[in-house]
Amino acid sequence: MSSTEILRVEKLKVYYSTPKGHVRAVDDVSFSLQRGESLAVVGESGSGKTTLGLTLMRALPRNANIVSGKIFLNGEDTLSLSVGEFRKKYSWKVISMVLQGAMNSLNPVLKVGDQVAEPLIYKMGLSREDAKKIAEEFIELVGMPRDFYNRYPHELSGGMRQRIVIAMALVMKPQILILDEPTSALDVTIQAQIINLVKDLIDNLKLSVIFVTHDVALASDVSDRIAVMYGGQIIELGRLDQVLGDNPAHPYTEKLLASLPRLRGDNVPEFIPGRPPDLVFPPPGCRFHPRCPYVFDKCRVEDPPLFRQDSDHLVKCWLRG
Amino acid sequence: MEEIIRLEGVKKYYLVRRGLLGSQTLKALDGVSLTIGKKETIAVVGESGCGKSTLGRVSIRLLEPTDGCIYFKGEEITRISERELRQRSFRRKMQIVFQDPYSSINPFMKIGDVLAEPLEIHGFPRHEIKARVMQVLEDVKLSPPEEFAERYPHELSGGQRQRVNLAKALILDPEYMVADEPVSMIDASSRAEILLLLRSIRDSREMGILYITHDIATARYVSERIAVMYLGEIVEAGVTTSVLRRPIHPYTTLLLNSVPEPDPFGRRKRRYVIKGEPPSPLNPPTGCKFHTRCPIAVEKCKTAKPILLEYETDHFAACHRAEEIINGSVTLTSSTP
Repeated sequence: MSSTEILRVEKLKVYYSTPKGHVRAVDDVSFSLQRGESLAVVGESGSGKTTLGLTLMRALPRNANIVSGKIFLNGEDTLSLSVGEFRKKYSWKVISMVLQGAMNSLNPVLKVGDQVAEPLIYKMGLSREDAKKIAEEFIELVGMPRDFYNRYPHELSGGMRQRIVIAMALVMKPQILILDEPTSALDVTIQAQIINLVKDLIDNLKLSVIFVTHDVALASDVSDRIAVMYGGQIIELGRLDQVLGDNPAHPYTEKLLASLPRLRGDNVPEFIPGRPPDLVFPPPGCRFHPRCPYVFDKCRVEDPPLFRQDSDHLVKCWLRG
Repeated sequence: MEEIIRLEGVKKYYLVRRGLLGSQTLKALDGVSLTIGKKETIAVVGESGCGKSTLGRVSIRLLEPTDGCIYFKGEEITRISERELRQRSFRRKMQIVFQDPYSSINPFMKIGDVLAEPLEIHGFPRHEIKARVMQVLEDVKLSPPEEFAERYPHELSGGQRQRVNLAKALILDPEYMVADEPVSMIDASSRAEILLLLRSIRDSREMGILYITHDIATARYVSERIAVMYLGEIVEAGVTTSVLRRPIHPYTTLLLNSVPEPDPFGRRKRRYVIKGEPPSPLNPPTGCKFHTRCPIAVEKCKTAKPILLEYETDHFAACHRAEEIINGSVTLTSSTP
């Protein structure tokens, strides 16, 4: 393990049991995260990106099973811990998460400040006064006046509630923050403000961030590296300039980028024909092959490994092997 | 160009009760004028609460305007009765597609039946219904149509469902369609397909389309003209390319600034963004409604309301400092970051 590595995921598989069979939501995913680094996990609905986040937090629903793999936090293999042990030792203190839609799940009858202070009292055993003081600091840190401590959720706008939820996730001073679609319900103007806040937090708190989103453009705005997920797998992983550069390496990344409406340039967005794979009965070979314009025989039968391109750029495609 | 829909000074006010005694007026639309021609798409963009959805609904008389006039192909329909709207086929000629493809289709009905329903209501003969359903499924690229007609909504992806919604709106051969955020809940890979479809049906069916969106980047691909709304008013309007390339109103410029673009070298650059959030429409600012968030507001902006003026050919803006912005003597980024 290198000295700055804070998180390493190895060959992780997480399946959901459903009446139809096992849904392979996360299927053989490996990556690592450095201290102070921001990694975007990009994918469409059903690509497994949220399940990945929930697995890192050990907050999976009951019908989900971590089938195999390892998750190292600061060098310790955390999957050998029980969920209870993990929560005591890591949740919120080392790794925390802003869940998608959390801003709409604040308790409507409690002051938002008390909700920020809650874990300090119940998990760290601080007195109410001390907890309040710290909570106020964090409310200020996320860009709101301290006296907003006393407001109720309905008195805040969506953007402010999102800031509160981020303050809640930060109040135990974690090293890693997972943000799951933190801006998808917000206007672009407010989204840009929240993204600026996230950038400041990364720089000022030396925070490592995993930014889960369906929006490639947004991902490129906040992250150092991008992991593109498709059908439960990382199909491309690399620095921004490697993944989003002029010559995209994976056909799915290429098509995803081509599908984006842009403000500038003359390209008309294209769509990707077909639909994402069924994760109960995924297609044989490469999971993208039924939609891939460059498909050839090998793709239909054999699943490609992640091929290393230059330095840290990984691509799961036979064209790059 | 033949005109399909014309709105003149349309207002929509709501009375909002405040406590036991008082009530306040919420001005969702405060004097909006707009014309949509045949084979033309106009995009209305703005943040939530700016009145863009209200505008769409008022334009097809799903909501009654408080003031102003609505014309359909030159004929005023502002105050004609619901019965007359139906009898004279105005209802059939004006359709709407909603944002959420998951909640707007009856989950217990097959797609074919969903599409046949409006035809049955409008008394089409049986043999014609089937042919029309198949045709419209082809039109929205759900083929083979025979197969899709037999499917249930849960068997379709979000993008396919939204195409069903589009088919539902198209099946009565409307001349005017409101598309209210039709792609905001669709995954990127299928979003483009809906946008392209909107373009092709506009041309093939010679319709007028009002495309409502918060996403200014999608507006670019479907619309010839664009109107930017803020707190119930149009603050800038004109030919899409010139509004996007040379925005005049500071709000438009800042809105464009906040749209992220995939940038291989974008690593965590700080963006120049609009301060604060839109003020409450219950208590809008005096003068120019944007002055509380505008980086270049001057005294005049706080007191006098700017009017929408044409600064370039078919490019309008409502801003006291428009001239200075156009000749470059004031820029947004030179002021406070």
